[in-house]
Amino acid sequence: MLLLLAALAGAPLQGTDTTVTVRAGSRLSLENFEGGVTISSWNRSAVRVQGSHDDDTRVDVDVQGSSVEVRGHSRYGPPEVEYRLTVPADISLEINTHSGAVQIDGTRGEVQVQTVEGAITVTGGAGRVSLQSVEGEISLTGASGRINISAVDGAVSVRNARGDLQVSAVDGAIRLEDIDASTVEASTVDGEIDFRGTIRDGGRYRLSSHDGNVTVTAPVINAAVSVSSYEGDFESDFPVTITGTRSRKRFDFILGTGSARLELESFDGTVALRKAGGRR
Amino acid sequence: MTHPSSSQLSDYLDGELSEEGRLTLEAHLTRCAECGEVLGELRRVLARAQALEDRPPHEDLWPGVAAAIGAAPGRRWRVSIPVPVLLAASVALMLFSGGAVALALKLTHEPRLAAAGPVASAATGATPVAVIPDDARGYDGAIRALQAEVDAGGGRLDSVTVRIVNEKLAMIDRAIADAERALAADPANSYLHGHLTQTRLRKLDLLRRAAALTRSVS
Repeated sequence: MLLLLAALAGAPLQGTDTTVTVRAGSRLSLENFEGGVTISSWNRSAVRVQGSHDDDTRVDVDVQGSSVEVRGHSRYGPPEVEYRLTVPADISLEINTHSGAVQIDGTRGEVQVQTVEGAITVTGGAGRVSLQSVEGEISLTGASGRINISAVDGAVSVRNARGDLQVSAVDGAIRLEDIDASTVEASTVDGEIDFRGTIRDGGRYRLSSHDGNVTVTAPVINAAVSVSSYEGDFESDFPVTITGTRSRKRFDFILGTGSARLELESFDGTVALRKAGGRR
Repeated sequence: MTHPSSSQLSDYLDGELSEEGRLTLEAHLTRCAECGEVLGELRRVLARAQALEDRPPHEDLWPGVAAAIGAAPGRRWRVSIPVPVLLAASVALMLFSGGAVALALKLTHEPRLAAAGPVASAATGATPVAVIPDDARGYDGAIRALQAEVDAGGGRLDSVTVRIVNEKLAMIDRAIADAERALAADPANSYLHGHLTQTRLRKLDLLRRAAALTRSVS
């Protein structure tokens, strides 16, 4: 077991700057109270930790086996560190911050981020990708795998994603663009849901908003579709033949081969099916 | 036939499909493993719910869950539950059998204090103690217990966070009220039942997150 403890108490302008060697497939966890976290990747089997903080704070980088822990310690309360990390692209990341934006670029490993106050912006990520924020927008681009996103106050944007996708928001729109996923579940209380991508044969898609439009835009839809609304409307660029009607605004129909399942719900908004390349 | 919709599967489990519809669907099920799997999932959720009804949790939370999803206490589940409700019920069972039950068990062993104020209380420096309602049972009890914990610990959170959590809880409450009003006007609408259940579970989830936040900064 390799134990490397780098404890550096930096001057106000210099802060922490330390680099440790890590194994392939390592997992890095970082906890911070206040301050942003910016992570980029490189091709070295090493983690560089740069931190900007005051004289009374130190940053420890603890490597044990394939585990890397980054923690700040302050003499007078919760640590306030502005982090900049450079990591191997395949390292797994677990980032917990209370206040501060988190930005991760170019990772190919698992990503877990939790913030209370602060936006989350991630490019990349594979396997399990979990992003949670209370106050702050969440943006994810180029991820694949099991993607789970939860926002309370802020919009969610997912682009160019593959795999299984679960997105939940309370007050914020959900925009899913260039999605190729066999399972998509997205729900919000107050906000629109806009899905643009591929409806895969055999896939399952469930989009639900209380107060917002729900729109699916795809070039082709082969799905058994269920539409439910209470005070909203329904619009479709695709020819629809109703096969089952439960009430004026609850009905089922088949598009194409009916291979996938598509459940679309909006209590108070319009449900729309748009043909990609058609009118918006 | 093409794959049946979730509501058709629900009707099938209800025994509410026409004879022709039933035969068509059963013929499809013999050829489609995926639909068979979905049907199996639904049956398992029902079986789990029925088993739990026979052996309620120690804190007797099940009646509240049952009430939240429209099932009559003291009776076995009728099968006519739409898929969204089943899935929401499944989530509810996990929630109650996990965090909420643990929370209720933990909190009911702590001292009971007078009623707490709103979440947005000023930080006093002292560690507040959660207020436990006497009837911390069922969905409403779990909501009250979590709300009490959030109220008690709100002073440890940033005031902006507290304000936002309160705003979003109020937003969810308005959505719940919308769904309840709609359901009163259209009580047979299974979409509204499912929507109401999911919205109530969303409130539970937000309160759980808020309570976890207060614990994390204590």
